[in-house]
Amino acid sequence: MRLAVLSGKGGTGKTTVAVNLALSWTPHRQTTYVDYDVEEPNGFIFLHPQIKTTSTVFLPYPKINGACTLCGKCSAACQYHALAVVGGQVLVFPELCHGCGTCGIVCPEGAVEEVQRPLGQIDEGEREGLQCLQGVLKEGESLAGPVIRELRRHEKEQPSLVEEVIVADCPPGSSCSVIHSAERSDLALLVTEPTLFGLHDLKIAVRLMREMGLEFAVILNKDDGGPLIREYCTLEDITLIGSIPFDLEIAKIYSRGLNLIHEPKWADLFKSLSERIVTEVNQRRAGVDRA
Amino acid sequence: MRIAISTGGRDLEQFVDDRFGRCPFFLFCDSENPQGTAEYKDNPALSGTGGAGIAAAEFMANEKVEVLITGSLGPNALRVVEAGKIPAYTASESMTLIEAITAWKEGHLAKISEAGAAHAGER
Repeated sequence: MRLAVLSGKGGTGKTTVAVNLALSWTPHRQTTYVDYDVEEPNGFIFLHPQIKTTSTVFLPYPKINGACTLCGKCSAACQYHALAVVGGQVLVFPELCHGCGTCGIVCPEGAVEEVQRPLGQIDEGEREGLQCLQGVLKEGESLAGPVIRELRRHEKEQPSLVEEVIVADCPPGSSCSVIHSAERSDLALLVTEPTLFGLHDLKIAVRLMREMGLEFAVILNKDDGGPLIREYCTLEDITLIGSIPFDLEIAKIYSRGLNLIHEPKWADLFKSLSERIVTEVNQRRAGVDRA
Repeated sequence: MRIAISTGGRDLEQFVDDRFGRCPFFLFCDSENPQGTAEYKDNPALSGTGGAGIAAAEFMANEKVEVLITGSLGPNALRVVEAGKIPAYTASESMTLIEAITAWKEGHLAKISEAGAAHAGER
């Protein structure tokens, strides 16, 4: 089964939930943790995997050769304005190029060649049986999409068995990056916090899940026992699958870069949460089968 | 000289828009006869998601502009304008279009030789 951990709002505890769930499953199931937050991946800070392979993600951009007649078709066709035909030359702006290849298609002279520039990298490693993957976007770059797509290709074929688990730690927000990281998951876990900001962005994430037709449930982190998120979930008929208390000890463990499941109290919490998630996925699959 | 100015309105008494790539309109006119030759065109770069300065600067070159007056140019727009050998001058938003043309003719406008901040017009 594939689980997407997302949130809408940043800083609600996506990585804390994703990492500790992955660690909880690892002794019993073949588990892979994938950090899709390529703009600032932080799961490996907690997992310390031994990196086995690193591969570079490249993005093509145009290079104009001598066959160019300055007709301007490439520039007119580029919706990202990565090309400008001016002063008897074609100026190329690689950092604006999305690598779509349209300029090469519309060029009547065959004057557009493709060259590659490095956009980021994919790291693969392992920690005590837990397979770990992360994508890293190069500093100064803004195109997370190609790195996320390449990372998705590195991820194994979606396992149909619940005995195999992929935990996708998604980026914050509700943009294309989140969609590409979360799509084709068995269950999306929406991590939220009991603040007005948390609720506001949760609502956006819920709308996204419904638009995508993705099964989802909510995990309430920093739970103060208040009604804010609970009432919303009841009203919207959303499964609140688990909660993690607002607790100073958790903050201390986190600030040391340690994992919660090394404390028995929190290990129990994540164990029962992980079991509830498996049950939920099985139930929803059975529901789909019946329908 | 064929002159272009970034602006928010379609009248010589309207003001200069200090955004280049994201201004609504450009005034095009002959500097010797602004009243008689003024025409206003929509900025084709206005609606794009990115690279607005590049597209607007390419528009200047295609329009055979010989002098550009605007607020400031980002690094990409400046590269295109320089490649097109179009001298660019800076005017403040408190100037009307006709005042800016007069100020340029009298040599009061400073030439833009360094790029301003990127994405400055995205507001």
